[in-house]
Amino acid sequence: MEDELQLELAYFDGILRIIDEQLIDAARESGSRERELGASANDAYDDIRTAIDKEERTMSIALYLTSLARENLAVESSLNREAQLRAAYNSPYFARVDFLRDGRTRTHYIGRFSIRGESARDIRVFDWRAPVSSLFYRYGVGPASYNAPIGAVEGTVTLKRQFEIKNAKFEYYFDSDVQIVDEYLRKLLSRNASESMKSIVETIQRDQDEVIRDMRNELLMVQGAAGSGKTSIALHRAAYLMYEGLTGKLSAHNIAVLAPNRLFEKYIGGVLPELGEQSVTSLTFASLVDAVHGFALDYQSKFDELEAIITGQADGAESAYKASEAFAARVRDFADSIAPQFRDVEYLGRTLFTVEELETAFNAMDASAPLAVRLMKIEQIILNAVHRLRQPHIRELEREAEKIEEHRYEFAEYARMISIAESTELILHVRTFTRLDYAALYFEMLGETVPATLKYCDAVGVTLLKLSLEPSRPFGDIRQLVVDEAQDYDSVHFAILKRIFPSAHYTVLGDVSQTVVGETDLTLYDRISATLKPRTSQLVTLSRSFRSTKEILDFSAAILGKPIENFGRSGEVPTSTHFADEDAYIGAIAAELDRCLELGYGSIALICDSMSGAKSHLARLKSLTDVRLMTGYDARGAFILPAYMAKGLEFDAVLVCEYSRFSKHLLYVACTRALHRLNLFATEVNDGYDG
Amino acid sequence: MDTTVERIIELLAETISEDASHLHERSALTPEAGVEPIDLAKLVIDCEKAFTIQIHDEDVHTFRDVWTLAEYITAALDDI
Repeated sequence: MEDELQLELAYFDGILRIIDEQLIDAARESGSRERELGASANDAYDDIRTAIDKEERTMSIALYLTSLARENLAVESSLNREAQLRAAYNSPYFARVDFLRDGRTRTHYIGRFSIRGESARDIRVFDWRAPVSSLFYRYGVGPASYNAPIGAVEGTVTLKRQFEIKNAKFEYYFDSDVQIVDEYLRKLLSRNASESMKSIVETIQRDQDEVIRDMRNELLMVQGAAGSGKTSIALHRAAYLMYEGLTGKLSAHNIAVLAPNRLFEKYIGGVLPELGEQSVTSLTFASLVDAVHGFALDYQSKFDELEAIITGQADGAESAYKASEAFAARVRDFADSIAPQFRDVEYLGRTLFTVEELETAFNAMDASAPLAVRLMKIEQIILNAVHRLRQPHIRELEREAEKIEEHRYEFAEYARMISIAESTELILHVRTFTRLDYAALYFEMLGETVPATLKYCDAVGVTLLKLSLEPSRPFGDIRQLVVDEAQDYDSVHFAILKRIFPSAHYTVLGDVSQTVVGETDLTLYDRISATLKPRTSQLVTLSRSFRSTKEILDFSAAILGKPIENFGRSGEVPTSTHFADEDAYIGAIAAELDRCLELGYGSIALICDSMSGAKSHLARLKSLTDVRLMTGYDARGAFILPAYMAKGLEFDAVLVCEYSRFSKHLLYVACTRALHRLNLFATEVNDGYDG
Repeated sequence: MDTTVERIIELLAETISEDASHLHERSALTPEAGVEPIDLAKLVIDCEKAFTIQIHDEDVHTFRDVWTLAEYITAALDDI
């Protein structure tokens, strides 16, 4: 055993030496590349400036841009490599797998980044996303296989070893003959939520690994219980897809993550670079709506809509209906029924096109083309006719103007001014029937007038209507879309996604138990599949929760009457307490908050049913204790926030305020945010949750 | 884009007899901002000559300011 430790220490020292040498090379390389880039930019600029004719200039610009893009990429990748090497120096690997195949045992060390020796084939540490690394995530000691580019590789795992290496210091190692050693995982999980999300590369479970590495399905759906690691999986899958992309199939620009809030941007900034990758397009649904409408649509935010529903000022049934399959079909049918309202087109005192002529031209077009596209073609036909007449007309106007004394010295400007005025009148008339006012059409469908500010659900509806009539790809060619918190969406949302990202493969992660308003069930995944129409799809269920203690999970599961498989980490039993008077209630919350701080919990959340509830608790608590409204997502300290904003987040300790006001699903969301400690408080009685 | 904006500002300054240093990319092309329809027509003719492009008269009403005109010219140059 002692010898074994000496061997491991020697290997570790060897790796650190390699990284050291490569760091020096990388620093030198990125410095010289930056200088080269500056020099070639100057050369190219000179070429462009001195290029004689337009053609030559255009060519110089094209050459310049191509070479600049290539060199930029080289600088970027050498800078990335330097950052990777620095991270790798502190913790170069976390596992080792020995694999016996064809009578020979090969040793594979696994880390966050690959580390090579002298030659490209001399891989000292494998990237966690490399095919061979799946042996570590999927198998214990015994027969095993992994999928290599050449096909399945069969063999036997003869050793599985995990390392604790921190700050470039080899702390210890241990061998295991099972998948990830539970004890190790439990130790990691019992740490506090120091940052809102950590990399889980060391502790990916077999079922999680299968989701992260799946490349077979066009649609992969994951129903995961609260705390089962869905968001982590979404992140690691994005990192894996980029790794796959290194072979040329995908680039970072082809991957997007859709999440309910901007949390992902923080993760991508904070976690993904650590995983080795940098830019994935991060989207919220509102950002899709804005992009489709060119930021021209004024609508309330999703949070405003949730707040209105939770506080009873809006009808939750309306937004549920406007997200449904039935509503998607209604929008589609309405879009199909829209017929253009052509009008005669007059120019220079004569009829250029009659309604009948425009209808004939329209009917001759391919009817499968979107309506807006066909109308644009009609507009172009009209303008082509106008353009043919315009130049002779302007010459005539000029001749007329020259005869008038006061315009003699500016006859060309005068003639052009007249033509501009005539043309403006013409185009505004033409666009009354060639351009579609989507909001007006949408509310016409509903039989309502267009409000100044649209409800969120209507903004989504207008977006589907627009996309049904006019193709829009504001995000270019996205090939992989990862959708988190899928239970927030329904058929209308997925119909929009299908239109914006028609050629994408989808990874959809959700938990039908965690709806903020209303209810959904597993049929959601059938509807998603029916809307996206993939050739291959799979629904994976992750039922084991890693976030909370057994006691918190049991308590949360009882709210819904559904069991959640837990990981067996123990903690205190959550309590729910009623207070007859307000002062005792607020005093108890303040005391619990102080207790949590005493226990050293770094992130504590007071979760209320709504934002108005959160604000009123803040007003009553701020003189008693140090607590503030949560605005960003830096979850250090004590925060008050509504449950709908807490979804997807986790805290060391959670206090649920006036819990009797919560719907069951919302209460479930609130309780499952807690890692270690959970307590509920109320002054109001709700028999549904008590006794 | 920057050079396009600068050139438009030069042409506009000349047309409305204004000091170019008082104009910028968000300067409006409206009568309220001192740009009468006849001035706009002259600016259009001058831009066509300066950039060797054709500006369609039905598009002129969309030129709210120097910036939107510059965007139009940039797109027209890209199409060449």
